[in-house]
Amino acid sequence: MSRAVGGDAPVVLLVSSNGAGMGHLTRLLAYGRRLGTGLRPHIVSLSQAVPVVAAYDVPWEYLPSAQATGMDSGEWRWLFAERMREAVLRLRPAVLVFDGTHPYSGLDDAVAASPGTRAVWSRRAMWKPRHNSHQLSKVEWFDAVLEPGDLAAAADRGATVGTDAHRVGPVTLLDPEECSDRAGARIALGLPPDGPLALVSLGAGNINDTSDEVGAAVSALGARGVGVCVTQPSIAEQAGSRGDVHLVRRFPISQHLAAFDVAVAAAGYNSFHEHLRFGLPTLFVPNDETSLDDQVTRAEHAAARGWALSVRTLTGPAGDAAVDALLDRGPSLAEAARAADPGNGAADAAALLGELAGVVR
Amino acid sequence: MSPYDRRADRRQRFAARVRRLPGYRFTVEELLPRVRGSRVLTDIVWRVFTPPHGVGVARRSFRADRLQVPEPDLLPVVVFTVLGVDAATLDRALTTLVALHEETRAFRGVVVVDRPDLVAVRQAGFVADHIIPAEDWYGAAEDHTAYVGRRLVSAVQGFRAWYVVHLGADGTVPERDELVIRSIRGAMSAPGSRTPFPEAPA
Repeated sequence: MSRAVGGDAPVVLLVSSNGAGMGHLTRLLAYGRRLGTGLRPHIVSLSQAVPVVAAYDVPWEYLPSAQATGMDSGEWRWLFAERMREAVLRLRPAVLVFDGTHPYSGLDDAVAASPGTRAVWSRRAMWKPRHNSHQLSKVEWFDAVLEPGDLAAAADRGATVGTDAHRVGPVTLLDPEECSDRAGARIALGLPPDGPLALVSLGAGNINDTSDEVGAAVSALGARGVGVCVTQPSIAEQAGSRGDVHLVRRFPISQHLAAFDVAVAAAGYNSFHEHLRFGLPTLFVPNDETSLDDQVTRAEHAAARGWALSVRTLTGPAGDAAVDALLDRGPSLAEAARAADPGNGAADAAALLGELAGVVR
Repeated sequence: MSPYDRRADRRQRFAARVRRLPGYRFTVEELLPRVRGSRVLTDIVWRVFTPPHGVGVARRSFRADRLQVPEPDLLPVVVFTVLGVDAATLDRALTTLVALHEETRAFRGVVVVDRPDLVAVRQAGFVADHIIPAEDWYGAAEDHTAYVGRRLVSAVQGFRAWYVVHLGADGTVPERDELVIRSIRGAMSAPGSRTPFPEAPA
């Protein structure tokens, strides 16, 4: 359900760019649900997954991305600018928060159309070195930069290091106390109550091909008697009638991480911080194909700190050894990660937004 | 990960450099509007160049991944609105549109919905667009009506739609609109077109 207009509380307009996953949207939702009663969150998203925020009673709108329309980005910018301007003039937000690493042209004009609106750039760090630095000049469009913390920040060599920003702790949608216990999580996800299960979250892949990361993970785990859970229907379909591969489709999956004994996952911002903060033993297989997110550095830092395991590929003998290590040492590493958890930065981020909106909490 | 496209980014940086050239503002704000607004110049252009006119003559990038046709870039964009219906009706409407799409292979579609079924629209092979439904609008009803109007204009302009079809409450395509859709290919093969057009579907 989207409630676009209404109520007297000032609006905080949360604008998420598109993305391979749901990272931008989830991060904004983490801020939005902590704004308190004095402010009204409202999401405009380029992600087709945006209806999921209705579960948190946050109003939403969808703006098709250049990728979703297939339009050239130059032409698409007109659509984006027009829709953003319309939304800003309709909602007159006290604060507009853009979450993304590439603020789109037109956002600046939209904000300028509403002089009372304060603009915030929520900008995840850990950019690949020498990438995207020209985007930093767009900081001029914003009144403030909000940087959600990264547990691997000490290893960050990207362009955002040392720039001015309000830095908060790592942001996750949920806090540990909001998560299900193992039995409840397995019921919620429709999983068998007993037996070891692994969450395999490596993006698209071929479950039947061991030269593929997903296929290698499923094969190695299966050979060790561990059932596999995947989040993509296309992968689950490949499993056919195999009983040891389960599809889990639930948002947020982080609420039910206790269902899994271990995880094999890419090292995107959200999964990385959810798994470490919530104590899920994880073998990170960083996706180095991302345009900007330095997953390799993030994963290797976690391994160096003794919080998780990291391997560049699961194909070949190194993969089998890494899965063995995950099953053997994963739980103690996860315990160390949980002990090092600095807490959720989402509440501090929400407080900053409240301050900018002129609402004292 | 943001949808960061290195080639598009280079084009954007090039455009930014052009925008900083001396005379850019004068060209954009003074010269081009005068040229575009001149009836005399427009008439001369038509007389001298006789630009190809009509459906299927201009290429543009737009999503068409279900269509197995040559030259999909030449197909017009058609906007379909399916508003105020329940999930079952939307499902029927999408089935109808998919059949029409596959049968005619004559358009690239945008489906405007006021339900959360964005993924279903995409999976049917269309671009999804969304309008906030009246029941979720907290302001005055007339404000919502005005908003819907603005948003439909935005869909037509933003997607550069060639035609708009408003599906009925039962999810069906009005007969005359269907006739127009089925006639697109004939229009694309009209004599005088200098641009190659996709072959008729098998």
